[in-house]
Amino acid sequence: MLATLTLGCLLLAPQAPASQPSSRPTSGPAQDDRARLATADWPDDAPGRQVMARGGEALKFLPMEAPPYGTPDDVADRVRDIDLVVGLQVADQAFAYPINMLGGPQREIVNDQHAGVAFCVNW
Amino acid sequence: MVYAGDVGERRFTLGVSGRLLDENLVMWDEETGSLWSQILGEALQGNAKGTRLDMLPAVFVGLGTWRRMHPDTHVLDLSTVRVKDWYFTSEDLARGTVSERRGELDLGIGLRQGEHTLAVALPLLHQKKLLEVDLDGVPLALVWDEREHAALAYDRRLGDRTISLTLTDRTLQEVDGEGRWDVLSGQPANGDTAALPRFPYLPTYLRAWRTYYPDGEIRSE
Repeated sequence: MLATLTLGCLLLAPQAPASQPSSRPTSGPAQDDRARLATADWPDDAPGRQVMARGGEALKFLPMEAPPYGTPDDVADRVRDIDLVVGLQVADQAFAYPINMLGGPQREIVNDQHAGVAFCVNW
Repeated sequence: MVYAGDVGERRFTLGVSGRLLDENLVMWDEETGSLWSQILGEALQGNAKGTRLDMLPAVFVGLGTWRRMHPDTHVLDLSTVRVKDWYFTSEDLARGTVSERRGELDLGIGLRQGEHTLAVALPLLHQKKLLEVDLDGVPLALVWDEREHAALAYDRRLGDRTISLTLTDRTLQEVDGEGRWDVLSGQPANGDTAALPRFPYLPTYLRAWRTYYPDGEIRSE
């Protein structure tokens, strides 16, 4: 959330996350973050400053949609009980987004929909 | 925070633009290519310029608490990523501060209604347990659930009534009525009373909130 975007060095690293919080082992489904990278061609007067680039080429991430979900047990090796989640109830379903999976810039925005409600979780 | 993806008949699917504006993420949408402020939820440039996304009322709690609330919850299942800033645990919320590379930072919850904003320091909420506030005409109850280390926000309008509340033993009690609600879920503890509607909020560094909303009210005592 409101986070400073990590610069190109992370984007050029092997696709698995370079590091992760606390001393917990990195595991879980691989996510091909680099497949979502694309050239950004924002107008010259675009708001803010470009901080994601590679070899002088401005980059953006294509949106992440319909991400993989598991059960609380499935993520128990990565998310402790005290680790904060963004908790959302949509119709009859509950969704949790651990903020240690929403690090950036590749995971800062997740789009999904349920019961006709489209939503965008961002951190 | 969570935004609704639809504004009227228009759908917006958002991604990371690679740009920062005042150290805040700039988003872009796939449908129009417009650029959006994350904190404001508003399109700043492009065909959607001026469009604002509605916030949905998410809660920010530890996974253990969320799991107790919703045993069948779906959980995002990705590998973890190092989060250098804006990484809180429920214990940080209970302390009211978080240690980061920039030092010890005070935490609060931030709320927005129209052009009006309010941030409440967590230590104040810890002390008061329940704060009733008015945000641009919307009567709210801000609550600290000590057992679950959870800050919560509820809209105090029920039908055509505005209610006032007290908090006892993790139960919100209507002052001039019989309504009783669980502090964490907002679900009625008795009868066929409606649930208390949640109001969108987000945990925030007070310093950052001050930067984004220099004219907004911040309550810390």
